[in-house]
Amino acid sequence: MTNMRHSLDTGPAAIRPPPGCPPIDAAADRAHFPALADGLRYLDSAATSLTPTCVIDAVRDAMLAGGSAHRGLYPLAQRATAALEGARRDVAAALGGAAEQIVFTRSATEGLNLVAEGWARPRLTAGAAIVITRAAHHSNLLPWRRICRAAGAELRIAECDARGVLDLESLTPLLDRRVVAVALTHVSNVTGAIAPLDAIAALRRRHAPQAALIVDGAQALPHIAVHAPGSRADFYVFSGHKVCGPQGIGAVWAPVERWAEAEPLLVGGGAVLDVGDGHIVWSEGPARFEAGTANMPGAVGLAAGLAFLDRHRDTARSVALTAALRTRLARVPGVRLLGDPPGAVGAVSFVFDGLHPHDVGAVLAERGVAVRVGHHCARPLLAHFDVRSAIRASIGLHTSAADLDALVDGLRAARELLAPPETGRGEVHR
Amino acid sequence: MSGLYTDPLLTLSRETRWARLPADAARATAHNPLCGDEITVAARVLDGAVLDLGFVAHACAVCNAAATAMCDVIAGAPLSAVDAHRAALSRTVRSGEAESDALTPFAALAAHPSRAACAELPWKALQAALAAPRASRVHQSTAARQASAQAPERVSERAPEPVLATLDDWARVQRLLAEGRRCAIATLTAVVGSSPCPLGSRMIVRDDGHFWGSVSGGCVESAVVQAALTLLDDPAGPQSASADYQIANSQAGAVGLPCGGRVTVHVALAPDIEQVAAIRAAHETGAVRVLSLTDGACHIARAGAGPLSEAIDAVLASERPLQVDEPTPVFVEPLRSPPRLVLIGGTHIAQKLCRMAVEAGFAPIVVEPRADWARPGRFADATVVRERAERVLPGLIDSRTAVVTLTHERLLDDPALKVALASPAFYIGALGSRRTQQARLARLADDGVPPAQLARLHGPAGLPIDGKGAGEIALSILAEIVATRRRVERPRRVGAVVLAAGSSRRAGPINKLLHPIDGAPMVRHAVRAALDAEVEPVLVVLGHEAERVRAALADLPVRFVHNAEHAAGMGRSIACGIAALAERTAEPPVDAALVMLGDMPYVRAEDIARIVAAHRASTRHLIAAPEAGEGAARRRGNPVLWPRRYFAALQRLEGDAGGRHILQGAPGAILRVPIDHPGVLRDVDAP
Ligand SMILES: Cc1ncc(COP(=O)(O)O)c(C=O)c1O
Repeated sequence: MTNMRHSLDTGPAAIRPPPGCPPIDAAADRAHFPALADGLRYLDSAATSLTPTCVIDAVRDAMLAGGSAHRGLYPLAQRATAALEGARRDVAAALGGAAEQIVFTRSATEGLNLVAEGWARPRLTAGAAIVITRAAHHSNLLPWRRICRAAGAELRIAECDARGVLDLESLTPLLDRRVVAVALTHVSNVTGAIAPLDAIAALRRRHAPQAALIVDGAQALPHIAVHAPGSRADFYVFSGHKVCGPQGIGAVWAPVERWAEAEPLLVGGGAVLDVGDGHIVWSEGPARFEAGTANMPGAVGLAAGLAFLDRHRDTARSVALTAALRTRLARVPGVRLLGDPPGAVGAVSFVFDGLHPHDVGAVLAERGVAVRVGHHCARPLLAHFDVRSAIRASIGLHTSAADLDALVDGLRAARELLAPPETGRGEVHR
Repeated sequence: MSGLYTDPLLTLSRETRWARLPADAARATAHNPLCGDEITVAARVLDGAVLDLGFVAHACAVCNAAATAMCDVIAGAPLSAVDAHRAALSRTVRSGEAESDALTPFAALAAHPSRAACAELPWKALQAALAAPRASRVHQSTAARQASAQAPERVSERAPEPVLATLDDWARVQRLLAEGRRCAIATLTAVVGSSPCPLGSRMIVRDDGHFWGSVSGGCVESAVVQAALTLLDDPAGPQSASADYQIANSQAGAVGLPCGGRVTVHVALAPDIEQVAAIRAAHETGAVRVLSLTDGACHIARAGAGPLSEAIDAVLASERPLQVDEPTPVFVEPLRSPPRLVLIGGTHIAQKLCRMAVEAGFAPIVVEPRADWARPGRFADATVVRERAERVLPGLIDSRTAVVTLTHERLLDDPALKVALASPAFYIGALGSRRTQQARLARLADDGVPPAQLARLHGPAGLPIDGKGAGEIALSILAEIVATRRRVERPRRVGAVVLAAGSSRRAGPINKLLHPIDGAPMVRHAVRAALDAEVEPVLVVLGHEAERVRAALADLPVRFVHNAEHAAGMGRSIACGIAALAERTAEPPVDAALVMLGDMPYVRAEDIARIVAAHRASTRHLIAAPEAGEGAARRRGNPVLWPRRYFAALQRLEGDAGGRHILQGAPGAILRVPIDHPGVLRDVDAP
């Protein structure tokens, strides 16, 4: 807070927030995040959230305790089992669910593959269909495309409008009795657009009641407190490293009946109770989907991250800060924002005056500002906006107006450095 | 301000000189999945060197700058140098120490390891373009493009190389076979309507589907590859197959044709390596290859008797292939590669010359380092090499190459001429006025070009047809090139007629022709001079005292003709000798005849040689006559060389007049050959 006031009061007029952009504080003090110690202006939380000290400590404690969950009867192993299952309870609670509804994965990508291969693929026949959206992350596109190809099923894509908002009118005709699953992206990692889950669930109920609703919540949870059972999702997929947890852990929430219909992605130790020459007795509950020794420290870290998030997350602030980011960027000459979804949260993508995003990103990096450049694993959506790659700034709990100032400054510097000299200034033209 | 984005790097990145994809080039696209960068590089290869290349990129400044720098060093470079250049860049971006000035802008990448991939991306694409893409990838690429774009898969495709040197095809087949690969050869054997590739165009398809060459400019190649792979995959199956393909209208449109034609492509397994070696050895020896369209077998054939002799003669004369249906269907192709025309400078005249040269059977190559002049689209018919001529010429010239400088820029023309004059090129011409030519010769001489080489320069280039405008000048140059080529391939054959029939009026009682001079009968001197000058054949016209004269020459390789009417004067003797020379059917016909007088014993062999050489060096078929003497006494002498077109007139001569009146009627058609010895003027009337 003091920090920010200081820069606002003494900085040059150019970086003063324009009217209509109230100064916004960080939701959590920068001091929570060791990665920010050297003054980094981190605007890439949509790629991965920075890990707060308390999460690092929780993971460290879990590793110090050691032991293999579900693999022994001695105290060490039993403590590991307790830590894993405790984390499962905590994670479930954070989504308003019960422990047996949570299956741990490595990532959101693995979660989506698990649902596609384990649940959808066995029910997919030639002539059946899967519905996805234009806003899908590649992780929520390729698994569906693969199983559709394999089954001879149809992959239907619901469009976005020019603002980057899912077009419910284009979705409705795609929903019919042949649809096995509707896979949504709760919040776009490119535009920050929030998909209207309730409206989509209602359409599903009306036109394709048999279809499961699969929601990629990777970008939603960091900003929105999701109540999974109330969301009408059949599967809610998310990732630890975007919710202040460690990398290498993610989870899928689903009602127990759905899990009962699904098959595991991986088979092996821990997924079965008994294996004979001619028979298998599967484990019960989530363990069936978690073959191999569990990532107990990761699960503990995920629970700790969600707990930290729960203490600091403020959806209204995220929306306001995202709006401020959009406004500040829109006023930089040469910037074109991709889409304009109302109420966007988290990420803003843009292109800059014919400069290649990669170069802009590099200049910003040299100035200690971290943004993402490239196609953001969402080629179809970028194509929708008619660009091949873009620059993305995204906010986290630690983001404040000072980060936006640094970004805007950096963009001006990038333009000065990279823009071709104007014609007529000493350039010889033949 | 920024360690990476220095002025040199940014300047390079904004450069547009290579921002194009040359037609008929192998191309490939490389992606950087990290940032979505994409670059397509196209490269045209000839004789193991990258003749031309360019790129189109959706990429960052580093990638663009690296691509420009890459094109700068690779244009004109041998294929073998590509890997080394890429390695130098890789080392530079890792170590931070530039290995050459050109690499300096990239040294700063050492501090940005994630950006090194940006600098390497163009090289990845180039190497993919130059490497062997499998045929299946050609299909994949279409599928990949149709699927909505997302996956960072690399898409490679390859456009056909230009059909330039068919000789190279066989070298390639031989190399492939020597490497233990199997391959098939596809030949364009028939064309109905219009087709982008000439009859006889070839593709070589390796057992893994990689192919070289083109039979349709990209329209049916993938189908041909499939047909070839089907043959290659089944050793027990047929050895060859033919198929008809429709050239799609869109394709025809793209190559400027009004409508699509239909082509027949014959695919056969390559002959074994010994036969391929024999085919290569038979090139340029007047042989043809006869390819059986029924079983794909082939053999080398030459002119002679046999059912195909007519077809073989036609193929050899036209240098174009021919399909013969009887007795069995075969395809007869000349074992020749097209001669090359290398034009220095992408000028207006070069544009016209290229078009005409293609029609005349040349493969034109334009060497032009200046971007504006080498713009894509300026030369649809030619290979364009964006490079300074002196760097690439050595790799482009052989003895069947003509080189013409057209830039009017001595800084571009002179270095090219120096390389060309020292090369085996059969024709070297330079555009420019007579005055420019004088200055040019002086400069080149100052630069140490030896006189013998300077004498090879045709300047101003072109036959003197008084051409106006680019088209006519191009025509005159091409005509001179064709004339020179024909002469070089078959020097004009010059025979001699030695008049030794005497004449009763002049001879008097004793036969002066037998009068000894320097110890030998007078007539022997003239005949010896002709023989020593390597004129062939030498015909001696006998008449008065024929037996005695014949006896005096009996030991010499000459032939005799008897002029029964020798008393009627010299005219009948000339007519008689020329008729005999023109009639000699057993040998190649003579192109010109020297008419020598038996009573001019002081003409030396070197004088004759000079007259013959002057005639051979001239592109026109002129009468050549020696000229000697000082000042007012300077006059025309003997012997006179008569081109074949005067033979008819010479055969009509009567009386004692000789050819003088013909000479008088054709003053512009006389090539005067200065001789600094009076022998050519001196006859011996009375001993
Ligand atoms: C919308 C969305 N879905 C899925 C993913 C993939 O998440 P993970 O990296 O955990 O596999 C991401 C992360 O980039 C994302 O933004």
